[in-house]
Amino acid sequence: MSKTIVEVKNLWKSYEISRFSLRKKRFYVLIDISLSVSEGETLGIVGESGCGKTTLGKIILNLEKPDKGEVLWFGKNLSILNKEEYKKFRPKIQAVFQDPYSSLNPRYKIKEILLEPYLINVEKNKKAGLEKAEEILKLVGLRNDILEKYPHALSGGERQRVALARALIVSPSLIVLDEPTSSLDMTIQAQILEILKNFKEKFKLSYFLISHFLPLVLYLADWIVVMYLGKIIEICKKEIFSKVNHHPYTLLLLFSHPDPFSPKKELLTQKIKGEIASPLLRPTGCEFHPRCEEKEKICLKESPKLKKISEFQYIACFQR
Amino acid sequence: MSFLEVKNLVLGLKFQKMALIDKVSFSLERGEILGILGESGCGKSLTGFSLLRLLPPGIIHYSGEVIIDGISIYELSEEEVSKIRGKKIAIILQDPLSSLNPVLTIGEQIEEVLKYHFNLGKKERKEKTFKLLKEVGIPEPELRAKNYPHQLSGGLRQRAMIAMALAGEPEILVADEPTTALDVTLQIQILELLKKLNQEKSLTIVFISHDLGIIRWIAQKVAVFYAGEIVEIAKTEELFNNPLHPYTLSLINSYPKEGKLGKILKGGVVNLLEKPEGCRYFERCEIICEEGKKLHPELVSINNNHWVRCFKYVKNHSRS
Repeated sequence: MSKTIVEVKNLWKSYEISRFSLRKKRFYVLIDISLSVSEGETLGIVGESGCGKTTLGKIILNLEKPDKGEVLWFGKNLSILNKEEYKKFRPKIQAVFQDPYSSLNPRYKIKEILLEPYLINVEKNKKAGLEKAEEILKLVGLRNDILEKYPHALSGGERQRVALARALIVSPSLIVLDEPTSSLDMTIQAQILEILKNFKEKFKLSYFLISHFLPLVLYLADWIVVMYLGKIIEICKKEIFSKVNHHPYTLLLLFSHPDPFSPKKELLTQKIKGEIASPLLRPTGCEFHPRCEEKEKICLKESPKLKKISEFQYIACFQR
Repeated sequence: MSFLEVKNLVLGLKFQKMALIDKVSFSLERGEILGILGESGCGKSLTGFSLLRLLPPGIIHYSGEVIIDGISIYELSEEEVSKIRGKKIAIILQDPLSSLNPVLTIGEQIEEVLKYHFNLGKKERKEKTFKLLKEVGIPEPELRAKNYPHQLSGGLRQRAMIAMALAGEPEILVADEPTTALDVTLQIQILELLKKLNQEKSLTIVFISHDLGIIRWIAQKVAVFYAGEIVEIAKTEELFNNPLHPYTLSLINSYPKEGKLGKILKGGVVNLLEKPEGCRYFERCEIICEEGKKLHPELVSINNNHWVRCFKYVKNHSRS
């Protein structure tokens, strides 16, 4: 058994909005989420906008507090962690966000961006920090002269590499990657993906990869987790992903990406219809039933639980 | 004579002699769909705008022609172009929220187009608006016409944009990354809609995208842009089965395929302000060629309808 790095148990999260500034309405964005990430493992979370995947990432990073449920870092519950232990674990969980333009401080030189976490979390030694920064920059494929530049002088791909270097400089165990390549061009995306894959093998890094692009998740992840409207509807191991049957929503996601490697199919998806339901107006029963092709009476009344199909696959659907 | 013809179009900066689109030529028959592929900053969007003679501030037309159905639009006066824009050729943009007017309802915005191009009574305009909204798949058009853009979801907003573009009954539609801001399941619905319009009304579409899958699915002909010029143009199946230009090849290879990546292209997107004097792809190219250092390759024809801009094929061509 490999070490568990992050685990969440029965997580619930809700937000409140006030409509017409009178009545407050509470709605759930995460419902009963449980999962864990082990050392060297990559979890890929897929889902449409508003399904709660980014919120889940934030809770894992301890940037948001859940309403109910536990978050465990290295087997320790976050709520009972004392200050010293927290300081020890905090740098082990890092993040790289979607937009490299807004996640780097424009007033800091790259040198300062990289040194700041090092000086705070590793040791107060500027010289050693710079050496480490140079070493990391080389790993992410940047030249040292970049250290003296400001973020605005860099291209999108270079910025994302700096964001990655900043996460790596404190030798983390897990990086939360929130849509790491969606603002980049195809060729640059491939470069970043290759770096990420190399690091995974080299440093036994774990990733918590959040994306809406299934081919990307299939490239990097060991486990694929599909979310819909705040619920996990399928968990599947990558190795068997192409061989087994899936939740109707996973199939919908699979079909909705025209594949550039197969000749065109006429009307590839007449099945895909409907808008994403809003968590404000949650459908009764199974959340997916208004868009589902295979729905039956029971789907309108009851919400399916995640059940085990095989050792490598869990699905929440009455028809599977 | 083809329906849409672009001949040696050169556009560039106003206060500096700097071409941003260099000698772009292509032609399209009525009812054909042309896909334009390329990275950010390669001039694909500018090419789209230039077909409507809608140039961003600071950019002017240097030379070349755009001929739509026998009318050369760069020879017309501004008033005459306004009559063609929307009626003969229309455009839909990437982000529907920022390209719709937030203080007018969807219905008002569509009626505005009708008012300008047709001599219709108030009642007829209303009816036509509802018909258009229905045609693009917006449920309950009578209600939706009274909505403001922010009240609609992303998918409906993009449909409203398409309805607005179709209001003038155009024969050519320029679609500039119309689905990039949408979720995958909505994306496919919009693509289906465009394809349906293409088949039923024989609407000619110029589809700009960076997603290979979408281009392969929707287009009959593909032009690959690099640094402001076309580097390869061919029929879709020919281009994907037999890509000739090294850039096209690496674009295809950088798409994650069955959880794997092909060869990865090094280097970043070329900066148009410091264009290399020889082949613009020279620095990132894996083929070693002497000519590319100093000389700029011309577009050569390999077989009918397959054109490529690379010295590798110039040589083979002259030998045979």
